[in-house]
Amino acid sequence: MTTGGKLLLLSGCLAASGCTADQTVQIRPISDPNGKLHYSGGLLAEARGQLAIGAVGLALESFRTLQRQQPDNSDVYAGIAACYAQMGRFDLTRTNYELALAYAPNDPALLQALASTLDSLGETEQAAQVREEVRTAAAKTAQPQLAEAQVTRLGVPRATTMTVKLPDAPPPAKIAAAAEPRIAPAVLSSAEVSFASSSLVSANKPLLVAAEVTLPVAETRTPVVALLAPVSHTAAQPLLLPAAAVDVTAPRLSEVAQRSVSIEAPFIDTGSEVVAKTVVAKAELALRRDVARLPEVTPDRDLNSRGPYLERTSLREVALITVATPKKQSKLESRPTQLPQVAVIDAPPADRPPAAPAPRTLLAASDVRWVPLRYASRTQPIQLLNAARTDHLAARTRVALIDRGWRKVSIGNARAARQHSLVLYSPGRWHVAARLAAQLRCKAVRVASVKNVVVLLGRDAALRRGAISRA
Amino acid sequence: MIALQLLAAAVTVVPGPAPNNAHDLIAGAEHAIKVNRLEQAGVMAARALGSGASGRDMDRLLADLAFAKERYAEALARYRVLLKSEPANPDFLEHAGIAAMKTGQTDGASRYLSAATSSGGATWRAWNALGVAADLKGDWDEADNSYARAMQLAPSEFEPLNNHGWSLVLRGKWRSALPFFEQAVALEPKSARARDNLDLAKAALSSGLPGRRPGETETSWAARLNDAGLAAAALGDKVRANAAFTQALEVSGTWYARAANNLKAYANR
Repeated sequence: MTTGGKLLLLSGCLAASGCTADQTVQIRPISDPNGKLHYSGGLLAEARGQLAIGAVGLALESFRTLQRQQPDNSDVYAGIAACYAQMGRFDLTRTNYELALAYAPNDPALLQALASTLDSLGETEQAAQVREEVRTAAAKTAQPQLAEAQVTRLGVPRATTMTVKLPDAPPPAKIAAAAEPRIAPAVLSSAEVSFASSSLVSANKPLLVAAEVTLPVAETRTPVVALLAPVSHTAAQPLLLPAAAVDVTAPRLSEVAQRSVSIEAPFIDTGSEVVAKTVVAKAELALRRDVARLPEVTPDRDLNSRGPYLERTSLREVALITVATPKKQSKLESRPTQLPQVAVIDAPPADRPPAAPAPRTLLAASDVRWVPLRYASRTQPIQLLNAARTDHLAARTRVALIDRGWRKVSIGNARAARQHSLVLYSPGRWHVAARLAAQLRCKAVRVASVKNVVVLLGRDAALRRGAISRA
Repeated sequence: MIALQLLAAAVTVVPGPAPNNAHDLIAGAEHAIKVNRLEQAGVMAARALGSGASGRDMDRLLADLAFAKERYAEALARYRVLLKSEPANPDFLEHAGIAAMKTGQTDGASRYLSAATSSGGATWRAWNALGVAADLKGDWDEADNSYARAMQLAPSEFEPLNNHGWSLVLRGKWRSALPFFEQAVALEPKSARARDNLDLAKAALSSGLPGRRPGETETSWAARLNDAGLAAAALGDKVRANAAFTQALEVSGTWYARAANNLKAYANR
């Protein structure tokens, strides 16, 4: 017992002394090239940043994590699709763009990206269909209102008069010191429409007036549509359009130098008898009040009275105003455009003396640009073009090449059909081209105008696979 | 205190995205099916179900989705349910008929497709499918009539032409089938099936055996020889059939079991 106790005490002392030894634990941080990205605003931004700098695997992992956290976020699926596009897996790109569209079905950027992917897959007809869908959606959103109010223009134009009444100009008020000049709003508040023909007059029926105000300076036409309540009036009585109907607001009218604008009212519809009572009316009208330009407060006066002051020019930028005429100077322009030069020396051929190394300029750090995810570059080193007019030849060949270890292979259709396959390569890519040509059993030709390596898959490549498709 | 904390937590919870309208989701999914974006359609259908959508539109969406994804057994079951409430709906009848044919239920397919085509608004697909069903039953008159109606409704589609040609091949009328295949290939040069059928008909009608094309692989040539042998056998040209099967075995770089089996089967006749 005593021995056991001593042993226990001894081991305890040893352990305590070991713990109290003066050893500093040093943890060496592992260098992380993406460390700066961790603080740039969430995992989505981090994943996009990783994709932008080419860390596709890390980006994909981040997007997958986000997918588990936010399964309803279309941006996540778009990010995954962009990653697969970088890998040349356009089949998975298509799948993920479709998943993104399930959560944002009318997103034109997603639809455009899907169309590009379909082009890469050789499905040009469906790509055109998607692009047509984008155009249709854009047209719908551009003019949704006027289309509903349009009535067929019929009949001979008849003379009528239209007078626009504007509110009286307010007295010029004393303007306190303001940062920028302002333009007073000029609003066409109401319009009187006089009909020359009594055939227009129809009592107690709703009246639809669609007019266009033409501004002489900008040559623009502003649509004006009004549906009036049933009115009872005669040809002699002018019809007063409400303010909402002819509310052509200040920004446009402020450009009008002349004192008159023209209003064309081609569609006047009196209820059910549309066709018989449609007229075209065009009249010059006078603006009773010119555009009132309020006195401008010049920065000089303000600066003299207050001295230098701070002014927020945007959410991110604050300017210190010290002189009357501000001069903005770009930070990028003020920087040296070249960093210290780094020489890249290529091994010279044996029969040529080594030349002086050509200096290669590095980009300044400020030139790093964040490419939006959906528009990220998709350049692939190897491009397979189907020149055999055989379905999915390029896609199948790409699968075969990927199975053999090739990566970053994009596909497409060649403009013209070929009998024999051919590898075209840019100078400096001969080693890749030679390996490809050996595997595809075709010739390789160096072409200066080609970027990277382009493989034209001819009918001979299609015939090698002919037996597979036959039942 | 606990109640206050719970209240604070409830207040500070960020609201999730507003659930989309089930009607919009169903409409979007139907559009996605129409333009062949089936992944999108599947997710939108699941979201519609999750938002509590049910009823005829949802059932139709699920049936259409199963049909588009070529899950014909499921599609047939769903269309049968829909047809109980709308027995004369031509879309349901057409899809049910095609799904029944794809699952090998020829009689049911003929029944649905006949009902679909009896109405005035039947599509060329319904007539085309009815022709295929008639081929499967050996009802050549109905097949000819159906393909003719399909071609009349859709003169720019190659499928009725190709199917009519194959129907003639089934009857042994190779020479009559040739122009149908040629027209089908002219309309859709990318269709491998139409091209193969045209090759087969040409091989059957030629006096010799198909030669090797420039750059053609041994496997492909052997397959064409085997096809030519089958065509010759169908026409009763025993000598040419034997020659074709034998040459297919010779030129094939690997053991060509199909040609060997054909040769053995034909020699035993």
